[in-house]
Amino acid sequence: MNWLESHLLSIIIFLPIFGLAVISLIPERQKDVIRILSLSFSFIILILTIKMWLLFKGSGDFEFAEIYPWIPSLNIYYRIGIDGVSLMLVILTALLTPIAILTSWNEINKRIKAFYMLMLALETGLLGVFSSLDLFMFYVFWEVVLIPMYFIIGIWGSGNRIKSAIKFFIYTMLGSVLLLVAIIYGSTVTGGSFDIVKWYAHNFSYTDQIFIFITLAIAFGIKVPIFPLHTWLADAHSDAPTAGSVMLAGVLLKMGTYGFYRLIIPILPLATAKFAPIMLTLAVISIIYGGLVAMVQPDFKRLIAYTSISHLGFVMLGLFSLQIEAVEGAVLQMLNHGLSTSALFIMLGMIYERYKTREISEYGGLAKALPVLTTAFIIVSLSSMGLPLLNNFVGEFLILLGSFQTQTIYASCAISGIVISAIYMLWLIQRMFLGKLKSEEFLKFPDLEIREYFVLLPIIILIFAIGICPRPWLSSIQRSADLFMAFSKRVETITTPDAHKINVSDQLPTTND
Amino acid sequence: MLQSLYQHFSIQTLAWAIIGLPLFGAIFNSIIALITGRQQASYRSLVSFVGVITPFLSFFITISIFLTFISFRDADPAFITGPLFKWAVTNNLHIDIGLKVDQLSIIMALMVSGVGSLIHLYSIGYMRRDEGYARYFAELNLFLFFMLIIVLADNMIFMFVGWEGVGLCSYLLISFWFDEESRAKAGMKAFIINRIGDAFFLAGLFFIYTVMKSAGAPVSSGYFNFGLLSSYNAYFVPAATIISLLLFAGAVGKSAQIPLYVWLPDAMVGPTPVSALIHAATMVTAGVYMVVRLNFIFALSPIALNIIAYIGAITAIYAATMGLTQTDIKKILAYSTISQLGLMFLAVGVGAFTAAIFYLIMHAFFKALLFLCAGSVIHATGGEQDIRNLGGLRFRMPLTCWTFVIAAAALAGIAPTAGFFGKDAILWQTFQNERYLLWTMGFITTGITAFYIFRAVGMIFFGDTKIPVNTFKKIHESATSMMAPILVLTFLTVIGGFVGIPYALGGSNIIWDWLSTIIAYEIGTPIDETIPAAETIVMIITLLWSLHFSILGWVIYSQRREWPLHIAHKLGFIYKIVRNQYYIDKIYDYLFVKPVYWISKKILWRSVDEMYIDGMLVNGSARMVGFWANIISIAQTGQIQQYLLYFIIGVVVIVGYLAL
Amino acid sequence: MALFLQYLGSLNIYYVWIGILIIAIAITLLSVFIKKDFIKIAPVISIITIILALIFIWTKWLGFNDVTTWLGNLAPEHLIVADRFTLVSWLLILISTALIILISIPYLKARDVKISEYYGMILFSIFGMACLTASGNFLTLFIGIEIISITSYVLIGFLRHRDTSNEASIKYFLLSIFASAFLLMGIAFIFGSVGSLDFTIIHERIGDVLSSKGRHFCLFGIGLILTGFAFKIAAVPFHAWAPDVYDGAPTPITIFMATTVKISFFIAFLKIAIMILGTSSDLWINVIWVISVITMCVGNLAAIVQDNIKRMLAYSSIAHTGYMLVVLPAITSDPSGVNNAIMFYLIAYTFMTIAAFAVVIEMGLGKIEHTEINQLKGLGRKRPFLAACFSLSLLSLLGMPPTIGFFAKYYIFLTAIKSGFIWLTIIALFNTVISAFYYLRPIMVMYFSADKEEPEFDLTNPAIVAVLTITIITILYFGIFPKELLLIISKSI
Repeated sequence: MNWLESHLLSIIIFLPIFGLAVISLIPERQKDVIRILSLSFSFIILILTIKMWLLFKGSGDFEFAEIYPWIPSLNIYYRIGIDGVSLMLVILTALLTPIAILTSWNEINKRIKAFYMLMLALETGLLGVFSSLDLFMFYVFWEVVLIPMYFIIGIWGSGNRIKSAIKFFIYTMLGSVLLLVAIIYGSTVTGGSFDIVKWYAHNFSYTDQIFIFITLAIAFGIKVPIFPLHTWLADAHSDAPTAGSVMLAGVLLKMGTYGFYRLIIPILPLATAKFAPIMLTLAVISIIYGGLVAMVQPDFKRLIAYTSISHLGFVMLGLFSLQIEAVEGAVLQMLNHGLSTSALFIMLGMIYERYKTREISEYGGLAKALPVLTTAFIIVSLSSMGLPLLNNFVGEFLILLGSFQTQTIYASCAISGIVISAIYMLWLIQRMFLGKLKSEEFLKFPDLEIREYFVLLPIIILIFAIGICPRPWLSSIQRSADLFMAFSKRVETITTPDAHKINVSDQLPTTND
Repeated sequence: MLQSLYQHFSIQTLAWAIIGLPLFGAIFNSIIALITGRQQASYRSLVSFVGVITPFLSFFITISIFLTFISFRDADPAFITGPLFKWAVTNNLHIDIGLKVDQLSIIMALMVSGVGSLIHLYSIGYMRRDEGYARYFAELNLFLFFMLIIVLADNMIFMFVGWEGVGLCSYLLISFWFDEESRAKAGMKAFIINRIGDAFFLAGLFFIYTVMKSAGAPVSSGYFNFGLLSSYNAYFVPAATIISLLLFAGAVGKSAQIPLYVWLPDAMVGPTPVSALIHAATMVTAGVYMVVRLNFIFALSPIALNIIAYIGAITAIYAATMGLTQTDIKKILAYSTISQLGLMFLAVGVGAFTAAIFYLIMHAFFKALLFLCAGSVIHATGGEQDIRNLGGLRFRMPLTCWTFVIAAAALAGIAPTAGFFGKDAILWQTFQNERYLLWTMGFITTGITAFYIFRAVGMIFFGDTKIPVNTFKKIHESATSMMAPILVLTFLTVIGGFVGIPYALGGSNIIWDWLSTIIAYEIGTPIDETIPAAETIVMIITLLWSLHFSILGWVIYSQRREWPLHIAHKLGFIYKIVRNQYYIDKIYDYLFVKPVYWISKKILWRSVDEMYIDGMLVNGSARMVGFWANIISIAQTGQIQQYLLYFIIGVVVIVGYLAL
Repeated sequence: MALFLQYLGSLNIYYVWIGILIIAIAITLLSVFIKKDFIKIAPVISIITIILALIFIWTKWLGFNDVTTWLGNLAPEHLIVADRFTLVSWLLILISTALIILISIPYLKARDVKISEYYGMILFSIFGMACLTASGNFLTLFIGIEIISITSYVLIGFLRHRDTSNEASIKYFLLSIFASAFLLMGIAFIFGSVGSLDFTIIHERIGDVLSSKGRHFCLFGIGLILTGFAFKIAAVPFHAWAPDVYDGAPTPITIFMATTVKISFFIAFLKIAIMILGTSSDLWINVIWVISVITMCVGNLAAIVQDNIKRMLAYSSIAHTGYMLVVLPAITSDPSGVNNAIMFYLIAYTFMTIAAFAVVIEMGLGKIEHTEINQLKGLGRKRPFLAACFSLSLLSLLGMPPTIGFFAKYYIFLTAIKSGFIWLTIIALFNTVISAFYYLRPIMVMYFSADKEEPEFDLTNPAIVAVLTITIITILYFGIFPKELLLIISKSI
């Protein structure tokens, strides 16, 4: 292990900050220099991430771990490391950032310096969230993500951007203060430790678990978002600039599900067992509700935004059904949703750039005007409605397959999500791309240009790659998922030796005493 | 010749080539379509070469494998190509991509690739002038790829891949001329309804997984392999009914049975070759094939089989009645397809799996033929589909006419065409199992079918024409590339039935022996030495019945077209209902589509989302904060007396609380 | 240099204040005789003095070997006690004062005020603070308070020609006299019931007194002292003066009141809490609990509807008092923790507030006293640096990582939750969310306005540049690496 490899993760996390510093020295008017610099920085990060993936061993525990004292007097440490799941999300972040930067090449033309600096800051925040093993750090990065996104929506957004930005900020901050309460309280219970691994080892008392679960569940539930806490999402997504929507839908939402995966379920098995029915119900509601509401949206960005609720409902279902297949599916689904939804946002952004309206009813017959874009859009929509050989199918299939074992009712309800997703996507395609050409105006604009090909191709290639051969992804998740299951099953190992076949929610009476 | 082939390629490679070639064609053509964009028609020769040669090649490969099978058929020749690669692997889930070539799948593959290649060939002529030529062939090849996957897959997941894939292709091809709203909508409808079926199918898969898991089947060999399933089928006894019904629900979606048949009539807006291939010959029969493939599960649940049988029978009659009143030639054929599929399910339901497959293949021949002829008529008359505006075409296009008549005869079940043997096998086995009610339904269906198909014959080709004379003069036979497939199919339609000559007629009934190893649960065996007379009698009755109706329909609609109008007038109300396909579309619309839309828009979005959650809770709390903020800022009057008052109050409260 | 330091080391700690006192008198007198241009010299002199004092106190802090602290038992009959904690608070006071004086220069220049007693007054006032923070005895405590108050009247009403200024001064005068009276009365009651003014002795005896018959008098006194301090640190319901006075006073004085004065009172209050309340009955904990809740709520809610930045910041400073009070109830269970937390918070608060107000002054240099939030429109484009500083300070006040404000809040809440005040903390945190409403508003106005101003002159004034750079660097550096600061503080208990 040479120096680079032993510090790879830290380098990946803080390289964006370095890039930010470099860009801040470039005068505002050197637009292309700034663009190219930020792009190349994010690209270097992507390459480093891939290198990290190649070095990744896939042993369940945390790799590339680094520990330095940060504020030892409060035993807060700089403690990072990744397991398979974090790796997935780190890769996702590192992949989507350059794509988002490339997407906003022409779209963003005012204050671009600030914009790209914020994008890089955002990347650092996200990478930090996904790779920090110290809860204080986790919280710091969690908050750091908030501010750049607030500015990105507020400054470069469209429509009712200011209101959306404020809504996003307040809503998510409400969540994060609860997160803070939970972290501090937990640390006092565990004897002032913020080490996630220590928390795994520590057996929280039942009441503590309930308290922490509620606070954390609200905090992460807002980010995911699960059903009643979702109203910030549509506004934020639809009013953000394309790059903003891409990062929001692609990565930010995963922070919530990641929180459930990393903290809630493994740390609080008893509370999970207690609340699983509620969470599952909410997940199923999100799936169906999100789909139905998406179906009737008149604004295409809002439509896609609502579909995220539906898709992440699947992830929640997978996580809380506590079946190994479902969990692996859920993790893969985070990645899949990140890819396909952000691709959809990118393409809608391209269309918006050309025709400057988000009303679906204004469109029609675009396939005549933009055949290639249409093809790409149809492919990605098919992936997002979970067609076999495309990425989303793998995730959804595994989730449903797994959850069907123990949570048959919920899974059966969730299956209807497949139909609903077909309805809203196909109807969107039908209204926007098929049918008569609404106006000759549409023909004025060219089909995809080279830059746009470069934006879309990687995602589409990945969509096929994951769909046709999901093994490498699954295999790097596998061990981590096993450990996750082991932790989340602690309830049952106490109550019954056979930890596998038992419905978690049956455990309540035995766990209460 | 086979030897030289096997010197170069292993049989596995060949099996992969069967599905690989159409895929290659699809990719190649779609790339051309994307690159050339609007001018793809100018690359016609290249496109049609690749697009047609690939299906034919895979057809020939299929034939060669088939021949190999025949060559050593006394030993069970089935083989599995082994996993191409492990598709998804978790701790207790292995799914691999593999092909299973056995007696059943090979003949299905023969049918699919054969009919498929013919229709590809036909399309060259039919789509000649189309702008999206390359796109068309790309999508058609892709369809063939997915269809062959369904047929050849060795496990249910891989089968499901094809299952969804054909749905996708049918969507793309139905809405091929997407710039017409109605066509785009029809495609969407087809896909969504198929999706509903697929959802049930998935549920079925999950149940199977649960069963296999609790049965403790070896993980590594994949829970969904047909081989493994059949060897573990004892474990399915408790869950057989639910699994069978769920899978059948999937088949109902795919094969257009009640209540999910509504997409098929609309699907006729697609190009006619597409209707011939997808919506008559292959895709819609996938459901039947799936049921037969899993016969060892279905046979475990008599209840499920009953339900299947009755749904099939009802669909058969119901669709036939609608066929009576249609005036669009393709709609007529569509309803006949639905009703024939009903018959197949009837067969499956009474356990006559082989008969179902037999009739499936025969049906593929003559129904494809019917469509192609119809296509050539439509092509010749410049897109005229309404049979009321046709007539007397036998003078202009005799070949098409007589082939159509033959195909119609097959559909009507008139000896010695393929249809006759197929239908007879089904009806006889039903009868033989003492399922007299079902038999009656089948019987009636046959009659109606004969009547309406010859109604079509009469109105299109006979009688005096409704076409204006000068256009009528211009009409002529279609190009060779279109007629060749028609002729081939005619040939098949005529002789195809002889693989299944019943014993009663002293035939050897090849196909039964051929499939005997697959169909472990054949219930009604056709070999019944006790009463050969009975079979013959039933056969003759059926034949006369359908013959009589055929002639009736033919005569009436070529000579006496006004009669039925009188009758229709008499029936009036009933006729109106049937004419409008029992208003089912409207009913569904008011029952499902509109309510769901309304609920989602008005209740879920407008009220729950915007008014309650967002309006009340979110903004409400914000407003609450603002309210209190105002109250408090009002308290800040700037009056020093007021401040002193607060002060005193504070002091009194605090000190009071502390000291007392 | 080394010699000099050695010499300093040999000197008695109190000399520094005598020195400051002398300088203060000198400036005041000289400004009577030398009218001409003394306004230019006075600040320089006072800043130099303060810097010298800083060095001196810092050396003392480093070489400090006396273990007598407020927590340990302390030799009685000390009127003035200088332990490390006191020294740290002195350092804080001096630093903030230096910054304020630095800001005052351009402020006064812009309003061509030539009266250099101003600086004298400030020095007098910090002398008072020294006395207050170091007091080991109610006598010195009260003297300190009075010195501060009197100088404050003068300074608040300093811009004679402005009525708002005078009005504010009068208001503060009346109300604070009132408060001082209550405080004095409380002291009297304590003396009556305990029989001493010395904190240590009271500390020893109060336990018995509270269990005896005369309990009520003592509690009565405690209550009154509480109210007195509650007034000085502007806790609800004794806060009413704060918005008006902060608004009316000359901005540098507003800062002075909001930071330096408040700090000194808070530290004194802390000492009293540890020495007297800490041992007395738990009743007072509930009182503080309630006070802190209503203080937070009132401060934050009222701040939302303010359009004037000065008033908004005034209310926000009230809210911050509330946050600091959150941790005070924990004092019985974990005194050192509370000390650290509050000390850290005070430091953070000082720098954040000074930074924010410095921007206000910069905005107001064109003689505008009231800066409406809408005047910030497009500032992000016109004056990026200024806007950046302002938003950073606001975010820090809001408690966003990675700023010092976040860590301060975190530390407070950590200590509170450790001692089991979870619900109090949760309320506080929800208040932070509410505070986002008004902290984000200026940022919104500065950046989100779609108008197209081209960058015009950015920060010009060296003094303000200096202040802003110092404060912002502190905010960021100690926000990310609070280790050293925590070390200093924890060593001072």
